[in-house]
Amino acid sequence: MTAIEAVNLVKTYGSLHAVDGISLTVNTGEVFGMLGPNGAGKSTTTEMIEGLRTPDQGTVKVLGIDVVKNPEAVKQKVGIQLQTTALYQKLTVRELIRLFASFFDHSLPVSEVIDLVNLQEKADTRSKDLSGGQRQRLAVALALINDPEIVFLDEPTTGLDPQARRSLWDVITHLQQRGKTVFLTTHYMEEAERLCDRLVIVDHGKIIAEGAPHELIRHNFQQNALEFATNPAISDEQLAALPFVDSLTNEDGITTLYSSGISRTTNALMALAEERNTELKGFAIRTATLEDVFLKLTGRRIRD
Amino acid sequence: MNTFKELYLANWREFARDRTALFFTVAFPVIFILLFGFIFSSGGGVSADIGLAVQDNGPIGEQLAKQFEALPDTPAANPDDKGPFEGFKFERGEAAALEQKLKDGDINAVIVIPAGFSDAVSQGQPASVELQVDQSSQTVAPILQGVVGNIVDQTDRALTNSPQLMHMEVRSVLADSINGIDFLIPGILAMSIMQLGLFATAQPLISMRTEGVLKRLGATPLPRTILLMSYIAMRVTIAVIQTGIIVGLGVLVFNVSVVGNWFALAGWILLSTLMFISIGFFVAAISKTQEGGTALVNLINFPMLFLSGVFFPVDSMPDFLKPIIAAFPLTYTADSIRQVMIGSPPIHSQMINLLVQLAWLLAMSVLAVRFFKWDAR
Repeated sequence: MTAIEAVNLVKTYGSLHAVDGISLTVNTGEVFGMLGPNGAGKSTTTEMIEGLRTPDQGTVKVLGIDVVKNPEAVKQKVGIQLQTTALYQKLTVRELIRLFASFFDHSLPVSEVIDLVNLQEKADTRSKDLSGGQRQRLAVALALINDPEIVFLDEPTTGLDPQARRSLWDVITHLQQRGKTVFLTTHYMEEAERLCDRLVIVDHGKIIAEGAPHELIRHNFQQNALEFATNPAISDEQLAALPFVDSLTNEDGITTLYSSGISRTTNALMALAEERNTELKGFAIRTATLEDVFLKLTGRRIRD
Repeated sequence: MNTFKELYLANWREFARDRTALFFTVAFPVIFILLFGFIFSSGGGVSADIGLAVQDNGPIGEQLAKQFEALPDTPAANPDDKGPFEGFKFERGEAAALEQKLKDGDINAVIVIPAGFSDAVSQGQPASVELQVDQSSQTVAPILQGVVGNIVDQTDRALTNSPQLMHMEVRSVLADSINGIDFLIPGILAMSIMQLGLFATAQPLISMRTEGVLKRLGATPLPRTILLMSYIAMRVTIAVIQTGIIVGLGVLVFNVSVVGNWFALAGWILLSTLMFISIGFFVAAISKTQEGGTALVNLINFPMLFLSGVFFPVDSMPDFLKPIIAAFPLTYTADSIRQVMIGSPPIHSQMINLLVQLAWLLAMSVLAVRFFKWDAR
């Protein structure tokens, strides 16, 4: 079953190609991620799929409905959390949820939605007095009030502390268990890796990779990563010449070697450092992550 | 219907829980009226101080002087029957000294009954009483001329025993007399309606857009018409409350009497409320940022506040401002409400007031719909 089908979406603002030919398919019941740096076109793509923006080109079908032709029908069936979470400041959590419930033909009981996002203790708190994490959970609650088949979450954990982020992850995992389709955008690799069944990586308005997180990693790397800084520096050429090194990146003075023979590479690296009388700082061996995938594909780290 | 009710409630709560908004819509007009009301009522009407120089030695001059001094020096017993003057206070003295006092502005007028007045009158010769007034005090001079002329006339008839055949009865067609507070109450009502449209309509709308609340609402199936209707209905409710407070204070505390039809008054207030709400929507439509909106709102508020006859009569404005005044919608609001409330002399006919305000309402609504953006981007 297909929940979302977007074909060749294009959106241009002046000379800026915000979205430059994105096609994607989301299956019913999966958590689908859109991963990319700020300004990659994630929000614009999401809002075109939600029917909040009209694409310059391309078509979107959500639950089989053409979004451009019939946005109102789509809005009844999906739940939307926008990146900005501003709401009526002086209304309480309960009042806001009741207000949003009145916008839909069908809605869940207010208390049930409050339970879903664990805001029971803040039900009678005004929205301006909520913490960032609580406000995000309220925004998610408002996206759930109509018991939607698809929930759109646009960077729901941006700016949250680790604990608030984990709390929101629990909510998303819970949604998945209830069989909801979740469309999630994020620029947190860890979040995407942990939550998403499938994801696309976008950069400059284009999809540069697509697949399940572990597939993407395995597809790009059969290797482990060695991370360190050298002082005094050893040149990239010499490091790349070490045995079993397949590729190498150097970001902010931190070298990452991707090796298919980790013990041989490590030994050779240690010997080289010894010979040059160079210190290896912050030396670590780890498996590759989505961060490495992004770095490999774009030459940049995602968090800038 | 449930959607409308919930949105109306949400608007209401946002308003009622906002102390600043409450202050400016409720407390501010009250403070304003009380302040100005007590300033005006402590002065009451105008009290005229008149110097009386009796140079004549005869009985007729003295009789006339007594007639003048018999004029009431305190306000009329019935407060509803207040004339423009609270009373007349006479002091006798030498003509030259009194004239100096008049020139110094210590007194409002000097009446001189010249020497030989009694003799001339008793011999059937015409004689005259001299009234010196400061012509620059425009309110006092014509009234004094009337009063003094009247007394001279009455005394004349009494002496010559000629019956008074013709008689002029002056009956005010105004709501009693228009004193300061009568003039001010409709003005403040008009001011409140304008500020409701500017500060309580435009500014919240702009912040709802810049903060993304409108966008969030647009991500639900909520029809925009319901959003707008509830927003407007809430503002009309505030207008009703403000009107109640302002008119109530005027009637109960300051004895302002409403001469016109209450339903007509409600109609005029509703029309101007809708007109200023539409102006508020237009301002919100063309303002991209909160700061820009605030600047524009103040730019509209201040000139209208001082030039449209809210505090001062439009007549008293210099001629070169008249075309600007005629262009301001608040001029028509203040005029129409003042006419129907206290029966003040019209600046424009009510038909013109109706048509101009309808035209503003229509034009602003069309432009607001044309330029309004729901999304900040």
